Amino acid sequence: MARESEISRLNHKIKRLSTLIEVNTLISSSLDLDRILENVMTISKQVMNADASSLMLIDEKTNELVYQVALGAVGEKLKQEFRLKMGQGIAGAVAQEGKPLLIEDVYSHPKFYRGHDEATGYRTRSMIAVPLKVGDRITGVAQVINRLDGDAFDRDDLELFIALCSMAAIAIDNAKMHRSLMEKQRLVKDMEFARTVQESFLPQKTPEAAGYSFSAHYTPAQEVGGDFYDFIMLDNGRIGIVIGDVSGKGVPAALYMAKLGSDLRTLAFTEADPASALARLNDLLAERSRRGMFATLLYAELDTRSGSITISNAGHLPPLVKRADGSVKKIQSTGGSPLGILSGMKFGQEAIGLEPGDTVVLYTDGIIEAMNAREELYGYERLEAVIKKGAAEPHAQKAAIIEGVNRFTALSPQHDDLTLVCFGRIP
Amino acid sequence: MKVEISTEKMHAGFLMKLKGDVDMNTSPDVRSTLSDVFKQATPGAKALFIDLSQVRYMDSSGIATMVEAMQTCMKQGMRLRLVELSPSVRDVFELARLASVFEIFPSLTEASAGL
Repeated sequence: MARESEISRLNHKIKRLSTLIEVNTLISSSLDLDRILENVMTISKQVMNADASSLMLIDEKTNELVYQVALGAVGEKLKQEFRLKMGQGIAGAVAQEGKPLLIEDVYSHPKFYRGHDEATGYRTRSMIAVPLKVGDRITGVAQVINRLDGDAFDRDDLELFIALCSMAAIAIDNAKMHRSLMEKQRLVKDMEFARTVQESFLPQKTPEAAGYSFSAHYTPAQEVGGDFYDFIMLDNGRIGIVIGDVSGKGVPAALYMAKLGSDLRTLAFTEADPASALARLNDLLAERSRRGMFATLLYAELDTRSGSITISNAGHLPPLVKRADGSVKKIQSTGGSPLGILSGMKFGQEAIGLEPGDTVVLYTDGIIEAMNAREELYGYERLEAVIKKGAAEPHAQKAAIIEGVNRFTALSPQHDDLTLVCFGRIP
Repeated sequence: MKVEISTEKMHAGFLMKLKGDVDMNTSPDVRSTLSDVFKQATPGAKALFIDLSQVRYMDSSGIATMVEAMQTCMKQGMRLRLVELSPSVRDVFELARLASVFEIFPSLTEASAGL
């Protein structure tokens, strides 16, 4: 008799071990978190011969246990309606203390939280709750409830379920890491895409107009930024020249910029002058304002026939003009506030004459605020000095400014987009 | 550098004090505190005062947060009043011509008057 019972005990053990091997193969065959969770609990329910099973993971933000899988008659209701705080109920206590619990009669256990049964009409009798652990870190709790044969769970069941949960915990952790890695990769791809989209909105070439020369430079920062510039070929020998900077960085700034750029292209043709184009553009942006986003923007119309430029400046940095005599002057315009904040704003504009040999420099704060290793800013004085010293011809002027900034920042990482537009009348 | 945010209820509404840098990294915290303040605001609240005297640096994300606060105030029938701009914030506001958009006051006493 003793030998038979020994054989039966060993057979039972072999069966459980082969089940565990099977379980391990099944749960480690996927990296899909949802599938693993579902698999783990379906197998647990079968292997443990349980009426219901559930798995909760700790929400790191709220430190609450959240149902991921709940199998059984009232599983769906549980999943939708219940969260447990640390220490609350049996699962909460197991998550807090990190020790498994085998409970033969649940209603006599002081930690049992009757809320679930009362809300679902289910009657919990016996259960096992085991913490999901990776090293010392507790990531959740798995439970099996009520043996189907009506008996209470025993120590054998506990041992098996602990083994099963230790494999599940590792598989779940791997899948979570895989998921976050995939998300990061997707984010990087999205960023790269956003940058190509953004750059595709910038002009591919500079305008050609007899007696004038145009040059532009754009270096994006590591993240997608919100700088932009544009040249718009209007009628009667007029050319629209735009430079701007959208608040913030990343995809939202790039999308805002794209919309703003295309709106301004339309308004440049339909509105009478730069000031009214900006007033209209401001209203369009303010009407659909999101998260306080706004843009500083300067719009200038150059009349290549007369050499006159009309400038309207919406909160953008003042342009610098280098005259043929070598003097450099900031154009402090009446303009107005940045675009997209309040609708109904009025914008001023001023006209200046461009003589042969004069050059205008438009730029964004990426130039003024370029920082070196000693955390000093490039600033206006340095920019003005470079412009004064350099050649007046726009291409040479642009190259000298960029070289000046690069020499100043040396190897320090570039935090903001660097955008520069130079144009002038050929002597 | 981080930002320290404190809020208190006042007779005329709410006062938020910011200390440190209000930039790309810290603006989300300021936004979420603002959103809590707006949830608490009762119909009697007349204004939100934001004290900027201890702000060392504010970038365009920080300004966008102020713009959003102003837009939300307008929707809720409140005023946004910026109080005591630090020199660096004042420079940014002047350069970007933001002074015409916001209501700016040299002190809380002056900001609370006439509400």
